[in-house]
Amino acid sequence: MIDFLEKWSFFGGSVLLILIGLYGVITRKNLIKIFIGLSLMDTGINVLLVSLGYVEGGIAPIITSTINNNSYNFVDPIPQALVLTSIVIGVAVLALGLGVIIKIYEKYNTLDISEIRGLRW
Amino acid sequence: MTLLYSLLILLMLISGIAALIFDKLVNSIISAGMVSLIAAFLFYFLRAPDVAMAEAAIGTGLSTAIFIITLYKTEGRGN
Amino acid sequence: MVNLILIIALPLLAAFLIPLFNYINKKLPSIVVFLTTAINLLIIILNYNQIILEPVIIELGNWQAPFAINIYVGTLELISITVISIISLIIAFYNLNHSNFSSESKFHTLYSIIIAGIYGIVMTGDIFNLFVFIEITTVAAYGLTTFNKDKGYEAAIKYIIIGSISSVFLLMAIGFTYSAVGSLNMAVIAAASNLINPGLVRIISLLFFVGIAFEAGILPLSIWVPDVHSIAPSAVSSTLSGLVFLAGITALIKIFFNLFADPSLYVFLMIIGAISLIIGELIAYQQDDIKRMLAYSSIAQMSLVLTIISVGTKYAISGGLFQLFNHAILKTLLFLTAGLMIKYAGSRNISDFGGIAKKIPLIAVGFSVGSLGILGVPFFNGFVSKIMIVNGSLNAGEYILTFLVLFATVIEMAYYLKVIQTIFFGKISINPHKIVKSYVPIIVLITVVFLLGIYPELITKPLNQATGELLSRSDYISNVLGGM
Repeated sequence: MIDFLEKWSFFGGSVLLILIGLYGVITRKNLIKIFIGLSLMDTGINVLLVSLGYVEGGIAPIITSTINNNSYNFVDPIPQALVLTSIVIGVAVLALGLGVIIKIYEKYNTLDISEIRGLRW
Repeated sequence: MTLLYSLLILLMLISGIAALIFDKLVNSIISAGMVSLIAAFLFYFLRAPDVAMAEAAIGTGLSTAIFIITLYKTEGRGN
Repeated sequence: MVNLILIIALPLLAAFLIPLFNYINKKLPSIVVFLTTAINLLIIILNYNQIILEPVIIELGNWQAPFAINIYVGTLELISITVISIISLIIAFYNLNHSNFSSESKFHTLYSIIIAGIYGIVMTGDIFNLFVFIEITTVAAYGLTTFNKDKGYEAAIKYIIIGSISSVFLLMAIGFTYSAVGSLNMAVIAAASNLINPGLVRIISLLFFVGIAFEAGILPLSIWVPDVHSIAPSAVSSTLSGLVFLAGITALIKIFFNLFADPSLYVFLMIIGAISLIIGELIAYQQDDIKRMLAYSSIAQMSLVLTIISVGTKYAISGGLFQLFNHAILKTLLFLTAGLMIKYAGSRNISDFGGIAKKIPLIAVGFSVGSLGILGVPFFNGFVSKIMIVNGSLNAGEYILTFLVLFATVIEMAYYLKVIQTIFFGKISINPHKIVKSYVPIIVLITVVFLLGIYPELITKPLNQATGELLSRSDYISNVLGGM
């Protein structure tokens, strides 16, 4: 049981979070809820990427004055760099989308996509 | 330690589902912020302290703030 | 030799300096964009002869190949960036006279960012960099979509939602690739792709397909295309349809030919492309809104390119690539002239364009040249590529595909000829609006169409070389990694 959790909990959990977010994007009717779904997907993919670079028993890939021995077991820093980029891109897209949502509300006075012409799909 | 991770992940999934099924949008937004916060803890446990800081500041703080502002500017203005 | 990284850096620099220039003079931003695109074309011309001899690889930050983010410019990338620079120059020239947006400097900023992103998508040799450039392009495109106050916001929301979902899948593909190979460099991945579990390769390629196809105009993911293309200003529609699709398809080709060359994936691509082709043409046939019709036609053309490239023989790939570049030129012409006709008639419906050719003959002729080029009439550039496509699929023994391509051409003929008939012989039923007539871009584009139609060797020779490079992955790997 513990072995199974150790191996799969991060992978399974993040993929499930992505799927939950996708489900929310597809089924919810409120635009803010849809964007909450998108941000859940973003969080899920970030956790997935970082967990892919995790090394069992590794330490954080930061050079400090006490630890500068190359034989130390670092976790992979590249996925972490990717995730930093992806977090920033995610929040930029989120802010742009929510800005557009405010404009849509000013025009239609509703956020329900079933009442907005041109958004029904 | 593994059990702690698993519990946190379970909590994250529950908050995620809760964010989608709450009726009041404020509650959904807070739940979504909760998901980001737990993700930040997970990053810390995955030995990624820099990502954890970024996620806590951007994911939990900034995103939630943007959501609340949007809510205030739209349907939340009345209540 | 001028450093090729400049053609990405210059538009980006211009983009962020434009608000400053706007402060000095309101006319300056459009001139700055025009100048940067012109300088880009110049840089590419200066480098052309060298790149055609052997691919140029630029490693950033003075690191060696597997560690550096590299820019790889082979023959395919060279032809792509040449076409992109010519078309972006023409559109920038068009923008010089058609600047009646309320917030003009923002428009030019976003346009420059899109151009930089497109160059990046085509030239990068690193999959995470590819993701970043795709995001740069799409975020700028989201912004440009909202310029139409009428229905722009709804289209932008659709675009943002689909784009964000796709980008998550693209990131997932990148993550899995990294965990399987341990590098983000395309050449290293290509070298290691035979060692990965074939099932995993298929999953990764599918995720890449989902992540990039929304930007390349393949149907199930491109339901945003008609909304966005019909709503954006015509300079933006032609950029999105001509250039962004070109970059997207180039990225897909690099993923499916350079990175993971698995023949069973080509069958999948072919089926998806064929379905998307027929559905796109059928929906385009039913449209009355001229820009929606052109948008669905773009989807169909991109699917045609994807299907024919996935046949996998040398001749078919050259034909598909030729059609890709033809489409970029022709759709720019079509969207620009259609935009002018819409402004003149004050309506988007084809039925309102009756007899418009008698009032604005050159614009109507430009539209007709574009349509006939897409249909593949002799002496137009589309003719040669259509012949190559049909021949290529016949020689490979894909008879069903040949039939579908010809069937699609018949549907295409029906709706394009309907428009041409209306604008030339229909009854005049409009009260015309005043428009700024810009003849130079249209004349230049028509010249290019006929030039490529009469002297196809201009592009087929480098195209054959590009196809050869695509099909020999080992050369690509040893070029980048240097015999490692």
